[in-house]
Amino acid sequence: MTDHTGMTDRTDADTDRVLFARIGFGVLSTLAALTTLAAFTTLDLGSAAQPAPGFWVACVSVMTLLLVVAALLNPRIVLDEVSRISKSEASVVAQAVPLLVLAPSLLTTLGLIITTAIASCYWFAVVTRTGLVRSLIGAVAITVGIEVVFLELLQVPFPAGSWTGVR
Amino acid sequence: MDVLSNFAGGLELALSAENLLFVLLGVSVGMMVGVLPGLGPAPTVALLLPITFGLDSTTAIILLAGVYYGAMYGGTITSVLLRIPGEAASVVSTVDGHEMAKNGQAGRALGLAAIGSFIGGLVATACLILFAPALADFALSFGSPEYAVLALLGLILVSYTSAGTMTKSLIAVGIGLILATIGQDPMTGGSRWALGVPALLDGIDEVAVIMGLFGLSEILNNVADNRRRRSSIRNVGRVLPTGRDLRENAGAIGRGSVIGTGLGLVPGGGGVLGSLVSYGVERKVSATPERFGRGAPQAVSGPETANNSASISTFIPLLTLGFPPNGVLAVIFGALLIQGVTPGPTLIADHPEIFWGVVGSMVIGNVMLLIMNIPLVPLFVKIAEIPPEVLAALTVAILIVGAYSINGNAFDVGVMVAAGIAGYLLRRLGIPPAPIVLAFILGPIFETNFRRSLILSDGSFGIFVSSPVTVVLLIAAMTVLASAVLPKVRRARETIEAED
Repeated sequence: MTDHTGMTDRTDADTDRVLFARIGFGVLSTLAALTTLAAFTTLDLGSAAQPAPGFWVACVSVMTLLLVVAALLNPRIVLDEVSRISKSEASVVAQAVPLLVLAPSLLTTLGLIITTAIASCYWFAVVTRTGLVRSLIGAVAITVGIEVVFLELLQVPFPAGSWTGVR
Repeated sequence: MDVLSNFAGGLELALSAENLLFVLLGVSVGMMVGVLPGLGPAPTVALLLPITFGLDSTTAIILLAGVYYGAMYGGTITSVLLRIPGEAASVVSTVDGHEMAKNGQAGRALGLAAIGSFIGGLVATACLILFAPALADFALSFGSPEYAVLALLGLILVSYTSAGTMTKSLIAVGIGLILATIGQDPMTGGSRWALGVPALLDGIDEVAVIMGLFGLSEILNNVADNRRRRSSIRNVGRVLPTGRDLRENAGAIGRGSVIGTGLGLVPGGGGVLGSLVSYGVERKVSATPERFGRGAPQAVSGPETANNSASISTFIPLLTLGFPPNGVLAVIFGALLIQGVTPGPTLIADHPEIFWGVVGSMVIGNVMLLIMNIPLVPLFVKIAEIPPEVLAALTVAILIVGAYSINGNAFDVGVMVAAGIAGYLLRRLGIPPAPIVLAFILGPIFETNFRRSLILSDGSFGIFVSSPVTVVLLIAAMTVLASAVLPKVRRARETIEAED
């Protein structure tokens, strides 16, 4: 709901931004606390005179935890430079994530060339909503370019895909 | 005489057919990157890392350095014509540069910026030639405590100069330092936090992390802008400045050269800081400060000179102390490590061909950029109009293939993707990626020297104040921290930032 001054929309956006920052810093605090706990419980700390592998990790993780908690407790710091992810942005990024997550498996099974073609086409057609013909042309152009630069010119020894036998 | 003969040798090396080709490639890619909004020099240098694997180490650094200072030239074009900074260091020129363009003086603005950048580049290169060998000799006397404190100062300065609050930048440093501890302990060689994953035994690959944090996170951050179209001023007009233009801007160019060169040496410094400070200085010394913001030529020539000279002088701490002062140089540091070269005080003595070859290439690259800049402006305007979705798809493909080419295993692609998604989320929380990368690169150096110092002193932290160098560095670090924390100073800093 928005009144004629647009105040309600602004207030909603501010509330969302605060919530986003608090959740983000909450997650960061948890991760920093877990890292600190792991450093103290799983690594040998040694002593100041003979610092063991855990000594440095403990120092660094404690410092990070203190900073994250300090930020979480200070609204001025926690909100500084925060830019909430809008629904439309989240939707676009969510469409990109499956491709990125699957990329390592695609590379090992399908090989570099086919993966590049699929990834480019997906990015054009799904992530940036480009028309099908333009997506296909763009994907072919990028794949040929990658093949020429990495395989022909630089001779990078990429392994072949386990399913396709094609590099 | 030694310096002159070494420089002549470097020029000769840079003029070999292969190196000349890679200087041209580097500065051309840099110009394009500078022109294309959304892809700065750090992501591009990260993207090009896999291409350098097969190159000779000198050629590799010549290519990457060319991209960096080339981007400083290119960034001006979109700032002036489109009012969109192609890269961060050209933000200042969007105001007066674009005002000049609207008044039919686009060519004059671009010409002054190009000549200023050229002069600034030569001044910074001269400083690199004169001071780098002496600084490297001095740094040979550094021991573990000096290196540990230098790393501390560098990380604090980088946090201080990064966007946003210092606390968030220091959190970024903490994240980078923690990530750097995964894998082999640098002193005992034992495994640390490998979680039973064989690929983690050697730690996380720095190239994959850099490509993710700088490259992929940038693409994800800009993905919603992919359908945005831009309009440009196409009437560039006369580009070559007149004698009167040069006389009127000589002071701004001279001051910009000195400011940029000086600030390039400071950790966290570089083009952005150089151009901002130069703009502030020009406005202060101007007899007509009211013209600033309305198309003052000195507001373009000074900052553009400063950002280019800073981009070159940033190589001094990297090549003499082994200390990358900003994100782009951190990537180049990674490139040197991949080539089997450890940047530090012995680099000039052990690998003179790299140092002098890169210096020689900077002179040649700046000449090339000056020649390219003036007649090719219309072409670069066309490049700026490449649809962003094409650029994004190409970049994602290069990132995936590039990460895969590091070691030929898909695990690095997974690391790149994880770093990219994490970097995107952290950016949205106001945590900048550059301090993460710098801390990740400096982490092992910091840790090794910190632990070694404590062992040498039998656990006494007094070793960190045992020499004049460490005392000076610690005082500098404390001063920076205090200036960020003390409310009065903080308010003054915020006012200056708001004015800029």
